Amino acid sequence: MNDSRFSANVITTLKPGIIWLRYLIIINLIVGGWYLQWRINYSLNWNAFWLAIPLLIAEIYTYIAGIMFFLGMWRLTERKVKSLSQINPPFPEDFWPTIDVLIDCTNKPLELIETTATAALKIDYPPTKLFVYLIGEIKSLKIKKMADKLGKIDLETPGLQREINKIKYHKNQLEKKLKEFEIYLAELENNEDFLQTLSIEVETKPEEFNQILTWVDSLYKDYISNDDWCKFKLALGEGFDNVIKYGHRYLSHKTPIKIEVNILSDYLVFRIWDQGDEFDLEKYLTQLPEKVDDMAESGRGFFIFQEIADYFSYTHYPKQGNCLLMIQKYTPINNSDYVFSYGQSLKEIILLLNTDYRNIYDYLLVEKAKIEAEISEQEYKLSNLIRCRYLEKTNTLINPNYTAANNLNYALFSGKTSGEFILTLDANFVPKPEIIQRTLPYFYQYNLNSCNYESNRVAFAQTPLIFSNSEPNVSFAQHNSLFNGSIQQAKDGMGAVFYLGTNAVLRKDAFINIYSFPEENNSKNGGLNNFLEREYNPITDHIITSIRLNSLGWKSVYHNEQLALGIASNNIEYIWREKFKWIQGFLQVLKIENPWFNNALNFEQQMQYFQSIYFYFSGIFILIFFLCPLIFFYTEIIPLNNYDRDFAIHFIPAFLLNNLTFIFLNWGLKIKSIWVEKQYLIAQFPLYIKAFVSLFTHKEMTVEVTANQASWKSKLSLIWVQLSLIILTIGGLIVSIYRWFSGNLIQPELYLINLGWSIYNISLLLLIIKAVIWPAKFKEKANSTINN
Amino acid sequence: MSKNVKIVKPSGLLDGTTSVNLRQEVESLLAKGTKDILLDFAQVTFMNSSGLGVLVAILKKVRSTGAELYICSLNEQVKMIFSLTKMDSVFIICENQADFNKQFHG
Repeated sequence: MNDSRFSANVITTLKPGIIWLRYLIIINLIVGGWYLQWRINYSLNWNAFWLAIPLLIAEIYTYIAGIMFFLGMWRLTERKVKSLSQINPPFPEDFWPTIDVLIDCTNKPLELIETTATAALKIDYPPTKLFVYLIGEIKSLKIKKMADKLGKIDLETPGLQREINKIKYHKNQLEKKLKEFEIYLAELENNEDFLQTLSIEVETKPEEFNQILTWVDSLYKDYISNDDWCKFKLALGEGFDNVIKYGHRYLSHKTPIKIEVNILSDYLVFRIWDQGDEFDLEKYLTQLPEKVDDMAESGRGFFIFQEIADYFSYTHYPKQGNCLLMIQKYTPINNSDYVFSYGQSLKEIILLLNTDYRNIYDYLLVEKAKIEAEISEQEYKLSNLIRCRYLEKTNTLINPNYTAANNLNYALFSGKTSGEFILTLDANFVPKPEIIQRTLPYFYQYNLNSCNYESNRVAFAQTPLIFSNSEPNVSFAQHNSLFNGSIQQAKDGMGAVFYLGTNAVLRKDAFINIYSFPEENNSKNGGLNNFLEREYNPITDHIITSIRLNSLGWKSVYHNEQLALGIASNNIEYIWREKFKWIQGFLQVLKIENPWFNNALNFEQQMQYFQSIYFYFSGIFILIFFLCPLIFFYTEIIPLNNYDRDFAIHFIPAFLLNNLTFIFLNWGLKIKSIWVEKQYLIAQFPLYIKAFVSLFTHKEMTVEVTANQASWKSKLSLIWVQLSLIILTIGGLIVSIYRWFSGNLIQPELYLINLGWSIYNISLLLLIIKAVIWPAKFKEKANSTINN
Repeated sequence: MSKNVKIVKPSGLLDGTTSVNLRQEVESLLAKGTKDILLDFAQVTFMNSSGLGVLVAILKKVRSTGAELYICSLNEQVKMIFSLTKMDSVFIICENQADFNKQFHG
């Protein structure tokens, strides 16, 4: 998937071979429909309508589920992405966003939390931009201690050490700069008069120059030689004369002429401001003859000026008028006790800025303050390098309405985190180092006009939840590679990826956006407040989060690459409870935010959301399928007129095609593992019924979790329904065998068909029973995989 | 000869405007037949290029009548403009009146 051959950073395509899958889906649905119409019109056994009708309803339900499921696969989507550091054009590291990794530590063993947190700190990302938060329920000193410990260990890693040195170096540089500025400031203070711009304003009268002379002489410093001083005044005289003779020639005598003088340590500067017309001095100078004739009566002014000035210019300023600037370099007389050391460049700045001393002083003060702020920022950065932190989940959040038992809400509204993106993890998912690099490119697009990467409208990127320390057939139903594969890819194609609360990277802005939902939406469907005031289970929360994001036009991405290694629990009851929460979570969505009533979603999204919920209505129908052969064994009643050739013609193609489509859909997965997952999906049906009932009775139903290993009694309580079905089937078989021996068996072919059906049923149930009663031992840690 | 020397003492600022007066004064002296004119600059504080221009005009006028123009008692400021424009080689410049008397009328 990290394929450098493709040129774009993100490539989204339909799954290869989708066209064949589509044909198969259509044929499958047509054949299924044909079977169903036959069932409705020709096969119903009205003598046993109490059995025939429920079975028919179960079959119709299943067919509808099939329509939604298979049509939902229409745009099965695959995504390829380049890692953040490899995208093209390159995304400069300085602009990478900050990340908060939130690890939900609720009910997780400490060693597991440590493994996950350690792995999170090793995520390949600039260390100053990634923080790890361990979120614990109430006061959990052990987790806090661990966070402190991991934070300290983390500081010793080469990456962090480099960062520390970098910051220290930077701080050092800043401190040096600060010292320099302090010297500048001190010098400015010491030489306040020396740096001051002095000015005088006179009228446009030649005799005013007397006044100017008196004034200029009063500025004389004894470290300026007489020669230099005379030259300076001479140049000033020429400048002034020029204004009288040319600049202000046609202007009133009252027109002001302003003269500014700076006497610097090695420069003498004056500016003469006049109000005359603009004049191109440079051009004029090029037209002057090279030498003035000895006997010429005019034209010496500029020669004198050029002789004296090291630099001069004549500039027009729209508001202030024309400015003749003259800079004359001079060498201070040695016996002067003034020491000129620093600030050579500073003086040049002053000269060129055409500004006064006050501005320079203020400028330096501001710069100094900036440097000081930067230094304290570096200090903060240093203290901020402790990247592993403990966040206690309290009930007193900023907004009392947000009590949803959801880390995300907490992180968003506690004000204790600051990242632009959030990686949510359950403590039993150990992140791979590349998790951020592989997902962040989805959140940006390149703007050709500004030549920058800009945020797009992707709100989250979900990656699969796959457990790596166990085989699917030994750990009960923790694997769900159908959901974490083709189902999410199908939802991706329809713009309705499910956020699952872990293994996902989220854009914080998007989430703040949905939780600051406008008022009118609150009244709708019982509303947000209602939702937030009650403690719904996290799954509900997550799916509703997806729905709300989609409603507001945010996009979602499913990235089908395992980027966190799930560590399955050994505790069967715990797994059972999680499973139950999952199912309940899905069903609750219907009640809180029924997708069909949400107009902001398009039809495809509505169907995707509804279809996953609809699946969990199946409990009672699965039970009917299980009961039918049993009822036959004990009563010889069948729901159909007959299981004859007609039945075979209609049923077998539909059954085979259905399974074929399912296999084709999950191409790439082993048929065995598809079968295993199918076994679990069906055999869990009592949980579906339980969750469905709890939805309508409002009764709190949970699965109790005892100690580490469940007792026989509690194990039996988990699977008594499945066990009973098997026992009843065996009982039915015994009854049948008895009938056969006693010669009462009239229609052996009916027995054979029901025998086949019940064997199929039992094979669906056996795995779950095995998993509960003889749970496989597997590693608590996924070390071997993590270290690779 | 010494009685033929007329001393003119301009003062203050010598620019394009004020030096016109000086020029008139010199011209009236020339009209009276004066042959040597000494400009005593002791009271001149400052002269700019315009003033110098008029001074050149005066010099030309004086020499055209066969007379001579001398300048003395330049302050440093005024000396500077003469030296910068190299006009100190065109004019006959003396340190002061005594120096003038010694050199030309001793």
